[in-house]
Amino acid sequence: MRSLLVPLAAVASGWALSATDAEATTLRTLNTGEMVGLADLIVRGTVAEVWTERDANGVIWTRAQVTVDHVYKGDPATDLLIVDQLGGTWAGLRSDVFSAARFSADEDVLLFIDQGERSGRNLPLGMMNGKYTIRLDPYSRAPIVQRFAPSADRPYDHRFIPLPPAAQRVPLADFEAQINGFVAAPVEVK
Amino acid sequence: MSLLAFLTLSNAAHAWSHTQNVWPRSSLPLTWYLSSATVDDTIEMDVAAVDIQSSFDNWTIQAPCAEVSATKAEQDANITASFKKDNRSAMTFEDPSDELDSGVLAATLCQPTADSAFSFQGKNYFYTYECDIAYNETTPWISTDRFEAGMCGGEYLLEAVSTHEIGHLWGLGHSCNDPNDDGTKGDVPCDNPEVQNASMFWTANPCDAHQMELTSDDVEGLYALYGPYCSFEATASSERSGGAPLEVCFSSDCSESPGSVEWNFGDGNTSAEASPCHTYEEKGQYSVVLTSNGDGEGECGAWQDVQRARSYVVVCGLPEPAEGFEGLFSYAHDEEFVYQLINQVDTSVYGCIESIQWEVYEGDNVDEPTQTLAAWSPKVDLGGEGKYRVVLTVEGPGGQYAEEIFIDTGEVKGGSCSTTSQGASFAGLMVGAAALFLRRRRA
Repeated sequence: MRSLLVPLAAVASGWALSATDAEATTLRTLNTGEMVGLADLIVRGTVAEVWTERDANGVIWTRAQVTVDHVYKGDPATDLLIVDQLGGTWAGLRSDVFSAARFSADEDVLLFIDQGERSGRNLPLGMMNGKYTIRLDPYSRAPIVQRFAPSADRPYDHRFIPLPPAAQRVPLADFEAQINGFVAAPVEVK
Repeated sequence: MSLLAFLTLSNAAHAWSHTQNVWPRSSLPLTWYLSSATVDDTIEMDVAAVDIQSSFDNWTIQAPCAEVSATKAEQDANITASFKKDNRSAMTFEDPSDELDSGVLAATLCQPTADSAFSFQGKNYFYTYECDIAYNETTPWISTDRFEAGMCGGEYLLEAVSTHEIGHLWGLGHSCNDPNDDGTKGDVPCDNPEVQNASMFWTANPCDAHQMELTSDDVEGLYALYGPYCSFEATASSERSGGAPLEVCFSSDCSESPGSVEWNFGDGNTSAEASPCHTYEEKGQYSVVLTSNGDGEGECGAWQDVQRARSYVVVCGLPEPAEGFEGLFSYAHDEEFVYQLINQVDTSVYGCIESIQWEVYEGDNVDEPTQTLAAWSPKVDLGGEGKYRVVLTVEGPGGQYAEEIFIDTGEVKGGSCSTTSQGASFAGLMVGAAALFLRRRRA
């Protein structure tokens, strides 16, 4: 399916260093119950490291190693999880992916993971939809969850993302209760 | 009928974006094929081919002045043929790299050549070499015929999703960047119904056909790539981010000479000058819109081009406390000599904070910090009884700002700092911090 030969040729000749692959998607609209139902793994943890790789098909992936602190659903086998997201910059080649999840080191995250059947890759479910940042709300002094992904051409640092408006601040404890409820009583997802 | 009449332009909704890839005119019309290896349980391949062709036709018919089109070619027996330099686009229901998770319905990957097409709003656009569209084979799909016969029971309409993906293939990004956008001033909110109805909105629902109907936002975005356009950018001597007040000067570059232009700077101010300068007084992220009108003959002669650069200007102030707070940070006692530092810096404008540093000094030592931290709201173990000075320094385009608090662990350890309400936290702060605030402006 992927254009294997073209990007490899680009690397060899170096002519495409300034051009950018673009991948764009249509995402499903998913509520929390549906996300719990579709996810193979749901975990909470901390991003230890972020890097990019290029696979045998020429596709650039951004990879994040997550130290898992808590498992809500599934069995990650170890407490170190590698989470993959399409796109990134590798050896001067850039691939922009719209709606991709973004990661940065030391970020506390709650992840809904879809495990690829063929590759075994751990993908955030619905790209940025499946990745929540956990942060301290200075007003309530309690941890909250939020989703935020700037466009691919802007740098990402979880420390400096805007605090959601008061009405959209979701306490981690409430979100965890929702997840646990749906894990105990799954909703049917087509 | 003029182009202006066809578009029925609305000033309210300009939310399109571009992938920075565009097909060269010489490649149009395109040819495409459905990979012979594709398999999907929910829709027959010959039916899928008809619906995908209809998706191309939706753009051809509903955005006629762009003159973009594609026709189906003979099926190729070997998918690697799609990698030949033949300007064919492969459609497939396979996903050998596992790129499509369960939350993704379809994806379009376009490969650019090294040939720069043009510079647009300060970004280089490249000519597209080839695109592939992959449909998630685990998604339940339904054909347009069955949908129109009222047989949809939660499936996704292939023609609707394909119309969206083909928009990507032409070079369009999503209308509204993402579901949780950053609230740029002057932007169309993502929950605006007019934007949500765009074919290029980022999400799709089951049994939803609306993406087959292009909105003015979709058409404008396409015409900006394949019709007369006026690109713009800040002049070389202008910074697009910095402290307020910030003067930015703009210049435009038009493929055809426009009869008139109107600039919207995103802060409520406008200009009809060709190359205006504008001073932004307040901090914020501002989208800049240039609307150009041109004359011409025939159905597509008269034209209007709307160019919009999201978050193009970022104006920052000195780092300051978020609304409702008096200081950049406070703290709460956690356990023993561990304290939770609570960052209260205003982050409402993404991009205005670029670095952060916490320094902890023990006793009267002012030279060497005993600890240096870079987290946003870290916990700090002070290690023993005593007086400590904690300094928070934050920096961004608006400047650098520092604030310090003294913590006396002897007082706070048994005190009442580990509270959760804002009012109580300040009471705790006063007890433990000897109420000393020092703010230093360094920039």
